[in-house]
Amino acid sequence: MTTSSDIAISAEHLTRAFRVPVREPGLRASMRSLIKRKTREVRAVEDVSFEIARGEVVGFLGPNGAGKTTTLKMLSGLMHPSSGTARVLGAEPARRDHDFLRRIALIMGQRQQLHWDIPAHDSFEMLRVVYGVDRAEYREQLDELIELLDLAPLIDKPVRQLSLGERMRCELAAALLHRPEMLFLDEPTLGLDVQAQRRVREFISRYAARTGATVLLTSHYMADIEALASRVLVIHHGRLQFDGELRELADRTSDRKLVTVRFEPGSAGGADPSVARELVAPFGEVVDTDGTECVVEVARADVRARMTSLLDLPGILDFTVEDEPIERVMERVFESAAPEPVVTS
Amino acid sequence: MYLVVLAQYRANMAVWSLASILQIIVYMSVWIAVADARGGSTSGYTANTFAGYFLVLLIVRDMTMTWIPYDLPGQVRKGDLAPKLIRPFHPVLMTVADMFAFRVQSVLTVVPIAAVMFLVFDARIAGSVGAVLAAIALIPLASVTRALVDTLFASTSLWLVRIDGIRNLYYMLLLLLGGQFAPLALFPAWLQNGARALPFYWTLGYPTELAIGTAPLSEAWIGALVLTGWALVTFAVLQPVWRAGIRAHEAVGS
Repeated sequence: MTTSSDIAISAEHLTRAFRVPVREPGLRASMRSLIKRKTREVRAVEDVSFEIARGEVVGFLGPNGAGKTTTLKMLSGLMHPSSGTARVLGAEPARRDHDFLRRIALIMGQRQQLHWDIPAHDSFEMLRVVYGVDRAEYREQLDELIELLDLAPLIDKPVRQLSLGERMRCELAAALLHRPEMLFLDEPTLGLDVQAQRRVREFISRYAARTGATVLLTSHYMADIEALASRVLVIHHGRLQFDGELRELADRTSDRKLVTVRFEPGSAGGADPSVARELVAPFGEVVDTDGTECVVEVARADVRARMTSLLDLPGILDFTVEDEPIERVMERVFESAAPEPVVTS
Repeated sequence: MYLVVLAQYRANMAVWSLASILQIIVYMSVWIAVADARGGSTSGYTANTFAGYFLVLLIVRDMTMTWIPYDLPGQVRKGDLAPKLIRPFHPVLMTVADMFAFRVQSVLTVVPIAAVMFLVFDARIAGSVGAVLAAIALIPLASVTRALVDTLFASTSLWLVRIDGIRNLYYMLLLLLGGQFAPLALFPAWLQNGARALPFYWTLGYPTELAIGTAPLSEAWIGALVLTGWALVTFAVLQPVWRAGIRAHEAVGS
């Protein structure tokens, strides 16, 4: 039985609406708007409800403008909901009590905690004072973060002289110096190279495992979600579309498998990609050919029956059956028209 | 931490100090010229006492001014306020802390230069040692009051985002009614009364006049009372205004 003390985040019917000005392009429309301004209401988040237990790592997925960041802002106290309630670590975020703020971290973008003009270690020291971390604990935490994020060569250089990936690692360290129990991570690997992304993912995973922190992260990189999150929330047009395991989402929305067929190099299929395409075409839709390999999309229900016949293809060396890439699954989930905006005067 | 930042940009620090002093020197030079043109004095100020007034004002201004009317709206507009709202203290306190660091730098640079200017312009002040000490004692209170008033004004950016035009008006009021452009005695009585009804004069012109002896030491307690009153009233008004502003602030751009 889940008790209230086991719940890190409880969101009930969270809604956030904005009233934004609209006008047509051009000088005339601009002058007209001085006197008569048109606005429209944008419901960035609508009636979103979910619970996250302490220690969970949850991915928050959605296309641009879906409402992910707005939801994170409401949960961290940056923004008041238009209606509905949120409780994080037993506190109401919108009240922004200092005790609550000491227990959370929010990372959005790459310029958050560090002072641009001075080395990161100076900013770390300031944050130690701000969050009231005692020196011994700070030293221990900082040493750990320096090791985990490989920061030793970076922290005595002015932050503006660091690369994007280096800055992001320092920002992560800055956000975690006070050992927050709740991490809100908004696109933590955005703009980073592959190696830096991997490093950040590993760090977040280890931090959560070691400290038992609860993590809610948004990302456009499915590799982040697949590597970190056991559970996903999918939001689109401000509404929660799905709440469950990522694999369950894929199974629900994808009725296809990808079969990669490999031909022997000397065979007809291995020598000529067009021949390979012709050979596998009866089994499903050919989506890619590359050298001696050919990828074909097969309906999930037909896989078992067709794979037996596949083995009879001339020159076939080997084949593998995989789920559709999660990116393609998510594309399908997000394919729906946006509601018409309401224009008011 | 801001002292560390200032030390990082030494040339900027030097130029800033110079520009800060030059502005006051210009006002001082104009009024010295006016006094000389009017036979040696105007409204009770001679060239020497004008010099004394403006050089003391220079120090009082640096000890009480804040950048809150620039910093806060800038943060709101660029989306930089959001990460500061996540910290467990008021975001404006960071700017206030930066100002303390600036004042340390100012004491090291502007005060010695002002002392030299005192000799160069043969500045005179009529205030007693007690009056100067009383003025120094008022400066922390004036600084707090000024910070609160600046924050209340800057909070309008939470709704309006861009307040450049309003800020120019705000600084114009400060310039005229605070005594920075000219001592209050040079203005008509109705304008002097209006200035005394607002906080600007009490945070800038009044400590200056106390130090140079044109405001009586025996009434320094009134100045302290007025400053305390403005601080308390502004603080009380600021609480609901700030809460409402944060509610209206949409944390966009962050």
